[in-house]
Amino acid sequence: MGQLTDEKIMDKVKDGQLSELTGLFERYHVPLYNFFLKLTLDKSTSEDLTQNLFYRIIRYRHTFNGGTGTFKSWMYQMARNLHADYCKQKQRITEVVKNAGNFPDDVAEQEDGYKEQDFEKLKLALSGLGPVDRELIVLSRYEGLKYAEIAKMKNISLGSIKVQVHRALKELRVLYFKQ
Amino acid sequence: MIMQCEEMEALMIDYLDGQLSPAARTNVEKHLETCMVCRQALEEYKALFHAMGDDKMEKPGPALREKFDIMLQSELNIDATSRILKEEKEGKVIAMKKPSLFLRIAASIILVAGGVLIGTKITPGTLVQGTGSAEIASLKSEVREIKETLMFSGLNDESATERIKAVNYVEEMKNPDQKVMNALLVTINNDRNVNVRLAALYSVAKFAGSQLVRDSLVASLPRQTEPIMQIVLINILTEQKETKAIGPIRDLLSDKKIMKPVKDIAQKGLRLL
Repeated sequence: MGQLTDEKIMDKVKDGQLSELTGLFERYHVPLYNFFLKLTLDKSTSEDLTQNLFYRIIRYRHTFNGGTGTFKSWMYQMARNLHADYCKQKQRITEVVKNAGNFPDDVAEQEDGYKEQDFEKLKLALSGLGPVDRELIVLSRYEGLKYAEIAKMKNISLGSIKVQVHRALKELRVLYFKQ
Repeated sequence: MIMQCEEMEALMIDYLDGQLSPAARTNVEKHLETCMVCRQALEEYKALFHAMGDDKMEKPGPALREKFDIMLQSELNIDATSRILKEEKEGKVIAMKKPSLFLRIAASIILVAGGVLIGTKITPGTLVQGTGSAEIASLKSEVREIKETLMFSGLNDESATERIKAVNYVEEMKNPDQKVMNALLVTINNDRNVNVRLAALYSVAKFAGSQLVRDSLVASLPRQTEPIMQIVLINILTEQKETKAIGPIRDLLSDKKIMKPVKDIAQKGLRLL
């Protein structure tokens, strides 16, 4: 009993079997939520963005083409766009409300389990990166996308993606060990 | 040597990821043997990757799944509706194009038969009401389904205005079912825009006669952070003399973060209960 691939499931959704989307939701809602969480550092925003993303998947299902790339890269491309839209919107809002504070609650928020300090350290280091570098790290190291997939998404060459990811990792390493 | 170390750094990451050819790997290892700085960097990358690997995924709240289910349901409704509309349209187009002789004869038979039937039915004093009211009832339920569909799809819209419009559809429904109420309650608790939450609350307030609805509103009170939401909720619940609200209202009074105007209303409300 092999599991259906993402692309097979998505083809069914495209074909009008919308309920099949539940399978993809099961597979990806936690990674996607964490993707947004790493980028926005805000839980409720990340839930909203994840929800919106599945809405877009179903709305734009006809634009998915298994022949030109994996479902995963198609999905993360949409996730990136959604996050970019959110940033633009947020920028507009922050211009109005400038003194809203810097989410200190979120960074300091407790999670159960051990090695708490390590996670906090990592979180802090990640939040010290610029948004572009942070996104590169999250896509390549957390969400497990291949360099080639990211290159295609950003429409730049494989070589320069590698260089960019390496540079971002170097910066992260410096931030992580400097603390 | 320094040039080499810079190059080495990029290779080191691929080295740890197991992405290097055997030859390149030996090269890196050779360099590491002689260069302390790079050995140090390698150890740091190892530790960093290790920490990243241990970084467990966080779980989103249960509302996400709930909202997904509602969204999927509304999309299924929209899909079904549009399919029906399409079929109807196509059906008509075909019929208009080439009414065959057979169809024309059939139509005339139906017309004549219909006339006869009507003639027999409209005998004075015996207007049969059964069929008419059944038709109206089925039409009504159709309209209701369409409104529900519009509401569900609107609630998922990215624009707040659209979501408020969706909430207002409920006011046109006489007896919204549990599914509709649930969607509204989710909106009251989770919508990111306070105006949408408030509109949903006003819509739900019309059905506060139901105990089920009141229970949900009581449960919602501690979740609300906006003063306006707190005030309206307290007013609705105290107007309905809902004694279950006493506990949560007292909690608000003893909470330091709650604003004074809210506390004033809470105090007044408690006196009514």
